[in-house]
Amino acid sequence: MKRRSTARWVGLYALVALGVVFTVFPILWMFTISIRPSNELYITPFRYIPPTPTLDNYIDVLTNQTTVPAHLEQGFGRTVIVAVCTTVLAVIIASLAGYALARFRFRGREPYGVVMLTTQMMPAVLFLVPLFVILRNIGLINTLPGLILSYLTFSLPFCIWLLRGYFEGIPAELEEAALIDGCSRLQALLYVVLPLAAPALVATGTFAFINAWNEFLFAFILAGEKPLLTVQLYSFIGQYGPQYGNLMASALLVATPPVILFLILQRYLIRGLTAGAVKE
Amino acid sequence: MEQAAPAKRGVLSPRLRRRLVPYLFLVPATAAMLLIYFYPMLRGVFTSFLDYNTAIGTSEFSGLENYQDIVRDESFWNSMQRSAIWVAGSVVGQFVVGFGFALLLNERWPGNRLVRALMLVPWVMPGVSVALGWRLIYDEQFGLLNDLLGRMGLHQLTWLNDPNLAMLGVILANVWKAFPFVTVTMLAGLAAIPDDLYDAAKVDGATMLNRFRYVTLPGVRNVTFVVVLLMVVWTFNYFDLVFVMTEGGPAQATEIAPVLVARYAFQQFDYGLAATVAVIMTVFNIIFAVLYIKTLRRAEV
Repeated sequence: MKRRSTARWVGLYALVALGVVFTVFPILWMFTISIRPSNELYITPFRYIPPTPTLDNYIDVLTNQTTVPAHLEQGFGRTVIVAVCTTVLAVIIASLAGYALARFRFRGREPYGVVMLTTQMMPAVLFLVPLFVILRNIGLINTLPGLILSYLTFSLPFCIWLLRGYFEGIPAELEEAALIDGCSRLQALLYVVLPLAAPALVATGTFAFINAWNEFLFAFILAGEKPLLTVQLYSFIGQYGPQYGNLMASALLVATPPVILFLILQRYLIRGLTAGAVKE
Repeated sequence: MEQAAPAKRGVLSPRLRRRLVPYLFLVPATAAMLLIYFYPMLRGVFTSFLDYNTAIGTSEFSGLENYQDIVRDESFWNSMQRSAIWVAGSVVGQFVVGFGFALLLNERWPGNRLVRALMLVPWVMPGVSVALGWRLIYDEQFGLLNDLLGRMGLHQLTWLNDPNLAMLGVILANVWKAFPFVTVTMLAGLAAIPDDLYDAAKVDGATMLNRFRYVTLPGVRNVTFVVVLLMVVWTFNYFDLVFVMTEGGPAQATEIAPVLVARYAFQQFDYGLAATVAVIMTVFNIIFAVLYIKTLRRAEV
């Protein structure tokens, strides 16, 4: 490894520090507002460290003691249901399709993959009006099943694309042995490929889960009467007016599960993040 | 005939069955995509040819009327212009910050892994949370930016309530939210440049700047192209952040195309007009998608 002069070390870490400050300051800003009583917002000049730090905002929000009860527990339940169902459905369907695209040579394989890749680039608002009308017609507007179906529009192609890439990286010899032993293709996928691809399934599922968790537009328009967490957050802007502490506590609480999940699993996730942009 | 085909699985010959297998695996995905993706998509396109307004109660075929209306619609042209600024500003900012970060993280130094993980947090946070946080950074009374201006004795600004500053405000928030994707992708691109290229350049006496100019930049050319295309598309389509921060205001200053679609559809209930704007957006996206696929193909060779 090359050696750096002291001056270069200082320069390097100065730039790193700049980058880290840029990355964390908005989060710290949210945090510092979330742990202070409202009246301490208006001290000028602003005190970055709250004079009397308190967890009251979090407690109020979580125990529904705010001016308008937050009922985050309801949004949490709905969000978990929608995110889990979307993830499970998308991963099951995408495993089959991804396997076919990775292992078989057949007519239409290449265009199928290209279509799956480009579907992710179409604007969500194109689907907004038609999905709204369709779901209303079949009685699934403002229902969680309707929302789950809508979420598959973006999570399914994404999962297919990711899983195809992962499956291609698994050597075919093992399942060929299973096929010779009399397994069907489906059995080979189930008992040989999927166990080997467990990290890939976890990564793909985590992405689908986080995307569903963070989604706002469809949830807001298609199930506004059964608000998920992000929709609740949006409605708090009007409800909590000057109670910014409650607002920031909620915003951070809603952001916590995807962030924690990502930090725990990041080792598996980095590759998926760049799939579609970088060739292995 | 009964002897030829194994009785268990019916009448198809084993060869034909083998050829059908891949298609069977694709049945669930294809059925789902046709139902939840392509059917609504076609319906969206079809809606753009309808005079479909639930506020007035109309729903009839009107040919190209929506398209004729839209080209005379000031809000539409405003949204296109706003979108152009939003996309250009965001993507340039994301790329500069993201690539700069990638170059730093590509060096070896203690703490590197920790910073790599930390840096990704904005990307993983829900857009609504990010939007709420940034709203308060721009707050006129106690916001971070006005606090800093005040400490420096400078004139304080109204940020998101100022039509001239609101766009800058949402762009900065978006740069913060999405630069990590550029960093991760560019890091993968940087890692793919063989070390011996740098060593050879060093032996030839190339300065650091020259190595960057003649080894690094050509090495990440394709990744750069792909990442910029992806960011352009995503930013163009991105609704959450701007909507929650400004709802398109003040005075339509941040009314980018997807926000306009939502306004037409769910405030004016003019579904036909909303669908028309969405279709025009899709045409742009298809152009970018084609460029993207072409670049990926070229990168494979």
